[in-house]
Amino acid sequence: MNVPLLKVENLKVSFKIRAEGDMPWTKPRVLQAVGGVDFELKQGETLGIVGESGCGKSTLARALIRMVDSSGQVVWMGNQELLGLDNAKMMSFRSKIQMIFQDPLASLNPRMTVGQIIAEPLRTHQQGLSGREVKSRVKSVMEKVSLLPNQINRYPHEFSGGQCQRIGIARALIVEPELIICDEPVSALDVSIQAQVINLLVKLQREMGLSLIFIAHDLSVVKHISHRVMVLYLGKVMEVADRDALYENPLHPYTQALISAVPIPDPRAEREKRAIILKGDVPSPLAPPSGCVFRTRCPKAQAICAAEVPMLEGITDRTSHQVACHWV
Amino acid sequence: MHSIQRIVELTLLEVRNLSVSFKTNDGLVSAVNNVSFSMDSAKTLAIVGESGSGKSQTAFAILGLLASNGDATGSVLFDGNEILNAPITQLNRVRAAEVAMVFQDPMTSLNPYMRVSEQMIEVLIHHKGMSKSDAMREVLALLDAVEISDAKSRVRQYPHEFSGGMRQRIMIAMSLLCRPKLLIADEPTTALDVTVQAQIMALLAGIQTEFGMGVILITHDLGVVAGFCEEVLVLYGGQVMEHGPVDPIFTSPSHPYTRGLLSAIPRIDVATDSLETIPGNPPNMMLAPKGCPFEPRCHNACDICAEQMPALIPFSDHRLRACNRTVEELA
Amino acid sequence: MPGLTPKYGTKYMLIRKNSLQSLADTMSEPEIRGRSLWADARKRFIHNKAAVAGLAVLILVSVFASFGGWLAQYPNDEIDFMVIGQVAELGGPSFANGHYFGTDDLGRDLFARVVQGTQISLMVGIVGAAIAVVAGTLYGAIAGYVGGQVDNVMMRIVDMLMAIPYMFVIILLLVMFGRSISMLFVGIGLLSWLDMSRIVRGQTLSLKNKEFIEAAQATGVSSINIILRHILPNLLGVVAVYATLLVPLMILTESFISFLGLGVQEPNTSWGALISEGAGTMQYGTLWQLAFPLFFFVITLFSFFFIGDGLRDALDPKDR
Repeated sequence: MNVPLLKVENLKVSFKIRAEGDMPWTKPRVLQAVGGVDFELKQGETLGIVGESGCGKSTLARALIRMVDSSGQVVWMGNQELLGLDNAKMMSFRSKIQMIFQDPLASLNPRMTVGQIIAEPLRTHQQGLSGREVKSRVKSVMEKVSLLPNQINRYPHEFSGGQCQRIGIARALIVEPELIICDEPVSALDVSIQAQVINLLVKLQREMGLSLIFIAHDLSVVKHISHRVMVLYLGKVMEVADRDALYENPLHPYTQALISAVPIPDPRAEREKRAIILKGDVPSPLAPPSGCVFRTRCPKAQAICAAEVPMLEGITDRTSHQVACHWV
Repeated sequence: MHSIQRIVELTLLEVRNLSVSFKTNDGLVSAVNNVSFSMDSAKTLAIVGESGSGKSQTAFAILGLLASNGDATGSVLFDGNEILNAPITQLNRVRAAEVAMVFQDPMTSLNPYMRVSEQMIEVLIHHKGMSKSDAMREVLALLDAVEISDAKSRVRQYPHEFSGGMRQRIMIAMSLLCRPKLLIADEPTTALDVTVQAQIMALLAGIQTEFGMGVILITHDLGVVAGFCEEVLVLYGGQVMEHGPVDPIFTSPSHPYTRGLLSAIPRIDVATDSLETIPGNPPNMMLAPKGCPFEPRCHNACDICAEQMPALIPFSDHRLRACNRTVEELA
Repeated sequence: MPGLTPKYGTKYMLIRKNSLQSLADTMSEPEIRGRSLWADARKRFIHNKAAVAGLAVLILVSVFASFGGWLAQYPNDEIDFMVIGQVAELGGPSFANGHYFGTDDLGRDLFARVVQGTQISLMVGIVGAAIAVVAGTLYGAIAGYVGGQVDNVMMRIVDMLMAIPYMFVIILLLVMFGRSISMLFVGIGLLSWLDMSRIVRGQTLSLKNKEFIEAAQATGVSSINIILRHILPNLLGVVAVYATLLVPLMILTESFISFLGLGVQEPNTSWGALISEGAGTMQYGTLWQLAFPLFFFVITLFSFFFIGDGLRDALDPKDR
């Protein structure tokens, strides 16, 4: 089984931005949120996507399930092109790809009971089921995510953040998807709860053979859960590699800075660590720098970086480790 | 020699038996219970806890910034003067000149309709009676100190024209205007990206030594604490769990909660197969526990833990812990 | 468990066992009923004394409108020839002759007429508000949810309708098509939904960006189901508040038109018409002809406003 579950080629998303009060005939400005991303996701694998705010990681996720318009190719199991599907087909296809959101409480409708919330994908994709069947499916999936099934008639506001995220996970699982896209699923949770949710995701992945796309800004969490990691900056892939290769031997200056900036909960290690402190802020995606988008903050930047866009290329000894930098 | 030095060192802030409660529609909620700690001048203290641990309310109570339905009891001595529930004129003097606060969201304390320069100059003219040109010079010097490049032209901009990291720098510069003795930073980098967080924390560390201020850092991020602070106060459910110097707390945590917390964080420098977890959910502060708030989630809990909150007692060099089991007994 | 003394060891095991037992118990427990946001709001509403008093008064007024007719000693259109011509002297409120509220200027029983006026005024208010709720909510929710050009066109239509002077249109309609209750409904209903649709659209726009809507879209729920299952239930609070404030506005409008003499036609009557007649005969010393309809009018409006305020406080998400 060598066909990747998902093969993404040259995925681009751009938004037209109109300033408030612009006349209808003024040309809108174009914001390139995702600028040509390629990757493959194998079955049962977790791909971590990291980057700072505004790097396009959430937009990328939404483009994959076609919640925003995009161009390029997204191939499912080697034979199904997703971006070309008509709307009705795509709607039914969505049972195979589910999503988990950042804010656990806000992603649940406050007026629905937990049972209704979890059952919604089932009612959408398998309309023939009887009420009894739906209920027993809901209860079994609730048990799977360690929620007490007798809580089925409660409302979201009666649960804590961690439990709400479990409800969100149960909702994603009930239609037995093959891929779950997790958009910052633990960043709104407390540290002690975060570990519970991460462990739950890992356990479910092993049990059900799920593939995960795990989007986060926390590099330690991504390291813990991912098999492969992709680093995004201003909508472009800077580096993509197997987890250990990326964290032990980061090649792109941005990845290096990102990893060195993560604080370590160990005073001695933290004092000895030499953090690379980047200058300035992320430039506006409305006016990205020419050439390499990272060059304005890069400690290694030279004239060529402004002139030429570096290609994302495999390094000589290992093709699975790809970097987009002139100096590698 | 050592003991003499300890006496000479001035205690900047002393908090004794601080309790904070809020009247709500659904009854009385106690957010902070009997918190005591003291802090010497020019030191850095971290108050660590999860949401609902009472860490921010502790800081708000110290500065008299509690919401109108909040009530604080106990004692807060700043430089030897009682400031808890002090008259507003005295509090204003303290807040303006001696204690400054930096918030998670800088926009809450910046006026969106005023230029940065106007806001900063106003403070100096009002509190220090400076002339406008002197004030401007001072503002530019401080903006330089927080590494805002091109301060001269940027100072005339409005807050929304700055990025999140820049706004936080401006907030820090504003808090330095009156050269405070104590800076309370409430989750100053939580809303920022990692690379910007690294910038801001490096800046805070530099400024702390340069200005010789005490800093209280309120955060949930143990990584940030490890790099920045000398002392740590661990809060859970409004109670102090553990208090002591940063190194031993991280290397040999003495409280089950601190231990659980440290092993629950995925670390970038260590590979782990599976994370340790603290079972259960954070406490519901509506139902104040009779005993230790951590008892329902603690796997070292015994019968008295549900009945009686252990006292915060010293147990080794400058360390304090609140647990009914001894360190040796912990599993 | 290394490092544990046996004493604690056994205790520890006991605790574990207990907690497992209680876990098993909760697993087999019957389903717990949740506490919905509506239940919360109901609780808060009941604690609001003014609102509950308003509700009680409103119920009494409705009971009066529904069953008051049984108590009346006279039909509303029968002229009592005993009092006619001497209304100021003989037509006052009295239990002896069965005219509890006295008679009007023509010797008709005022009690029966106030019952009928209350029926018609309440009906106008409730039907007018109902039209506004149904039409305005649907229109606003669709415009807000679909967005883009559709939203633009739909809201510009509302803007254009709003630019037409409201009272003027109703008066024109009544003059052109004759005075009747149905024409009054058409006139009020035609225009009352405009404000509602704007409010609902605004709310929908803010709801649309909530993560739970995004979650439903990601799952593949159709737009119609998103509007029905997710948007509308979350709009109901705002709609309920606005509707309770709209009912008295409708009543006021009707009263104003009837006061001008353009509203309901004899022998039917409404509060506005009764107040108008009462005001016209004030100088002859028949103050009860004004006082009774005015009393019902005022307490009803007050009740609706109190209930509206109570609902708004009860449903306000900031309080949660």
